[in-house]
Amino acid sequence: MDMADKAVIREVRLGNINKFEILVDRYSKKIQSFIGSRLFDKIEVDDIVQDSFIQFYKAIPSFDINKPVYPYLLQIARNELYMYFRKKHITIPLNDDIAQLQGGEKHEDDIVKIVEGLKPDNKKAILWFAEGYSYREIAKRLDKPINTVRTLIRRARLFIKKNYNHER
Amino acid sequence: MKDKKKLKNKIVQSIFMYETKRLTIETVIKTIILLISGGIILVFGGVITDISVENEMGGLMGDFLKSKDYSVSKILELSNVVLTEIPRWVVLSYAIGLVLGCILILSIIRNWKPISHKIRSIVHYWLKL
Repeated sequence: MDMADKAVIREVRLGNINKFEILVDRYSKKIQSFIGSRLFDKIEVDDIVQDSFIQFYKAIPSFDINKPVYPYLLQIARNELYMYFRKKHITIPLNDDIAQLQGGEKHEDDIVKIVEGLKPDNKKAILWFAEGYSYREIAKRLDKPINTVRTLIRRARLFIKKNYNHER
Repeated sequence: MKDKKKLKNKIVQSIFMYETKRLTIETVIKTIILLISGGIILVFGGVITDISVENEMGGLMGDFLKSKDYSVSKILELSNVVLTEIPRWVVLSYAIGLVLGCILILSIIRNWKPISHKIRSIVHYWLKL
């Protein structure tokens, strides 16, 4: 029986947990391919997909039933993926082009050169961020408000992105 | 296809695991609260009854009920007598126990349908019925 997402969520809210299977069946493949396109370890991908569904299940009581399920689930998956990156101290690539070229030493040298051209605070912030420090930790080290750190990192990213594309 | 089924089973199992844990913890906590409030009601209820019997407050209550004059001043007068005879903290503890128990029972009654469905789903899943 093909149930609409709305009806499934209503059933889950009523305590029929087994109906959640329908949502898993419907979206697990899509979420898996979304995570899989950014992470190559299959076991980790499956774990993140699983965590995303658990987070979604926990959010069902407060979920707005009139909103579509997939974008919400996708956002949860994205957050889970970022959390995974942060935990593993893997930096999120600046853009896909750079991510694909991560292995090349020449490109690494280019990026190092560009980073050298940054203003001191921007440089410190982006380097600490790349090492896996959180915004809060960087703010503490720089003795600046967290929002300033956000701006510093964003500007540094834009600078690197702009100059990297320019050099290519 | 096999992989997808495996992943689906893994996700569903983790959901049921989470829900089973949550429901168990919730049940244990609610049972403890219910036992505590039940105990408070029994102990302090007993104390209040003892004091009432000792001070022959039953007669006072009887007179009040018989007079059929339930004006605010009469009720205040009666509660004043009760409060002076029975220690305030005993009455307060009894009231807290009573309110706690009532809130808990009402919340259980209100959420009985989802709780019973959840229990049924969990039992069906783990016992593979």
